[in-house]
Amino acid sequence: MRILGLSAFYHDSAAVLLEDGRIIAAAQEERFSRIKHDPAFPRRAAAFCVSRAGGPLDAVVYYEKPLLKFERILTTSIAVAPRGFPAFAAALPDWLHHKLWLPGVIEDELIALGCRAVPVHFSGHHEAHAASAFFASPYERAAILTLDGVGEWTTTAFGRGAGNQLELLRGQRFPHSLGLLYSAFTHHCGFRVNSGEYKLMGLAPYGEPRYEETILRHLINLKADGSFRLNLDYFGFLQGEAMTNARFEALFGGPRRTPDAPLTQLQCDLARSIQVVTEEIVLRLARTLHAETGEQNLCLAGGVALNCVANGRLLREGPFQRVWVQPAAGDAGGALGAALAFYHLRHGASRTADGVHDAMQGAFLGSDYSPEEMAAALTERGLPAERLSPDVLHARLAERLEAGDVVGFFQGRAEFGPRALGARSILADARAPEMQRRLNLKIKFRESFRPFAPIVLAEDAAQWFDLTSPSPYMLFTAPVAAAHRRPAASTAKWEERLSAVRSAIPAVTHVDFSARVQTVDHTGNRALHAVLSAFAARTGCPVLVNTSFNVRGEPPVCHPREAVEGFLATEMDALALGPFFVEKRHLAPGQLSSGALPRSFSPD
Amino acid sequence: MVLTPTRRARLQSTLAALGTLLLWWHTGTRAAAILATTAATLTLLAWLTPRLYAPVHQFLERVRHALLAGLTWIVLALLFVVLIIPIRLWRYITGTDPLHLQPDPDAKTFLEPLPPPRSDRFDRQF
Repeated sequence: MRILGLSAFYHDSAAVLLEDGRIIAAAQEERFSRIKHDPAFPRRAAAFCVSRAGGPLDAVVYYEKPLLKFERILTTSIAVAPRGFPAFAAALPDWLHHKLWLPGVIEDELIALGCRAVPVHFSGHHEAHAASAFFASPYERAAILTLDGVGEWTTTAFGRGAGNQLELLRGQRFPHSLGLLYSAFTHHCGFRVNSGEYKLMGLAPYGEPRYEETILRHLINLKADGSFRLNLDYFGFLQGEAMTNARFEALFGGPRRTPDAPLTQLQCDLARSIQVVTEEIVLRLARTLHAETGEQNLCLAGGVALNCVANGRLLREGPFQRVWVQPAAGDAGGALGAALAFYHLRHGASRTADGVHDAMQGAFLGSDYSPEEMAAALTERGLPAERLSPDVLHARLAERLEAGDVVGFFQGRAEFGPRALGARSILADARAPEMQRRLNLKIKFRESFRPFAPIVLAEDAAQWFDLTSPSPYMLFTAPVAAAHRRPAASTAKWEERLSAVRSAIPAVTHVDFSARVQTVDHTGNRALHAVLSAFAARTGCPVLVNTSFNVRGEPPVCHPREAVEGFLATEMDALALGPFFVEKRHLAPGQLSSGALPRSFSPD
Repeated sequence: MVLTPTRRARLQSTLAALGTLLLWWHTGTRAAAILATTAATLTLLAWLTPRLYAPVHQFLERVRHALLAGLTWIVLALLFVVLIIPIRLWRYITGTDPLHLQPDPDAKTFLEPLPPPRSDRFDRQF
């Protein structure tokens, strides 16, 4: 049975192909359209998925219930009237134009792709998240927690899964949402909502939780079980204005930071405060869920599940023995969950779980390209490249990384989900003290405070990080092991703390000694494992920096052509494009020009 | 049939010319005559030199878009005033609070039971 799962029209549109329960292909539209978080119908992602199908589709499943969402929008307009007309007038045309007629819209799109018309089905938004978390997990049975901004009405859901069954037990309703609360602070600190939340998380360790009490006293009414109500007097999102309002600004001592204004200690403290509150809510919800279900395993999904600091605490302090987080935890993963929910819950298909291996295949579910296509992309730009055998390529990469080079690493199928996991990555030496600054300012063109994530050989992870279980999807933070830490002054200003060397791997050690770890094993990503092993053999350090192969404002590269452009447009030193290896030091000055116009970035 | 921009421009200008000629024939006024002459000239331009007509077409498209946006806004404003605001007033009078905006400090939990799944739920948009 072939099922196409779709998510669209909010953010991170995606398509997923499921064939007899196995995930054949999954991709976000942004990778093809080059528009970050593209909300449009995932035409190109669906075309890619359909091209991988072994036959005609049997069903299409959309990731939420459009009429329930429309009801929420109308109910909200009524609740805040006579204010809220701008939101009403902004939302209604889109709904009347296409969102209310989704089956027809989807059918037309599929016919345009050359597919025959198939029935269009609908799963609930949180049911899709829950299914993406549980059915793709390694567990035979588990408790399920979904947390996001909002679906139709639900913002948080408790569930339980066993075998091929899944039930949602209790939930919290819009507008009382942990995702929206976090996004309000993202907005107030000058970052883009639904995009900059991870920046706020990265900023938090530079601050102190000075506003934790203020948040708990004025903004939310938090109960012992982790449920809460927002005090909507401080927020503007119901009226369709900004996320926050003048009362919110007055409460936190000033107006919102404009996106291009410098960051101050105030934003650091706000980030830390909301992070602490978020972690407290997640921990309380997890304890309640554990008590209700008695399960030992927890599956997590929804946008808030990408908060790897909260996930790390849950793993270390939470009541569950094991925690698995869907790597595409946001709305893109809803496409996967919708297809899985339909397959198991409607179709009644059985499911096997061995307790160890999940169904995500390392999240390498996206597009791949042949060596011929890669060679063509290099030739197009006149770049001479060596074609190397895997062993020689990995050894050469290790040599260049040890020499301090920054390397673009484009291998195999692209990742599904927001993290670069070693298929469309930039690699660098984590031991170099200046590497974080160099990568941020010269390669990624982004804010200097942003930390980088380490990849580590799975077999050596315990020696370098206090990590209690594998983290193949970079969804848990863990402290750098004490043996590798260096003492650093903690009283310095936050700008001064940026450049302090805090460990033997400073490029990936945050100011609080935490790191967003990805463990790499031999079966999950053979090429990356080989590079790490070769680097460890040369240096004794099995850790490298891994960051997404993109530049600011763009999604990760998808086609080899984009990888070549990214390589030329930044100060990257080398590019490993499939079997091909290019080094800038061997290129003539005329070959170094990208031909692209100077880049300018809108705040993200 | 998908219309190319040139064909669409020709079709629109021709229809506009026919419409204004009809108006002139019907009213016989000088204003209608000027309008019909202008439309006919632009139609000739669209048929003979589409490249010269393109800026005119773009301008007219922008005007059409602005008019439609304005019309949509007016219709939605009317809907908001005659439907949304009265329901809000009625809910205010009856004390209905579907979004739970009023504080409830005595509540022990804000978690609510989720409805049991219906067997036909995948076929429904609600």
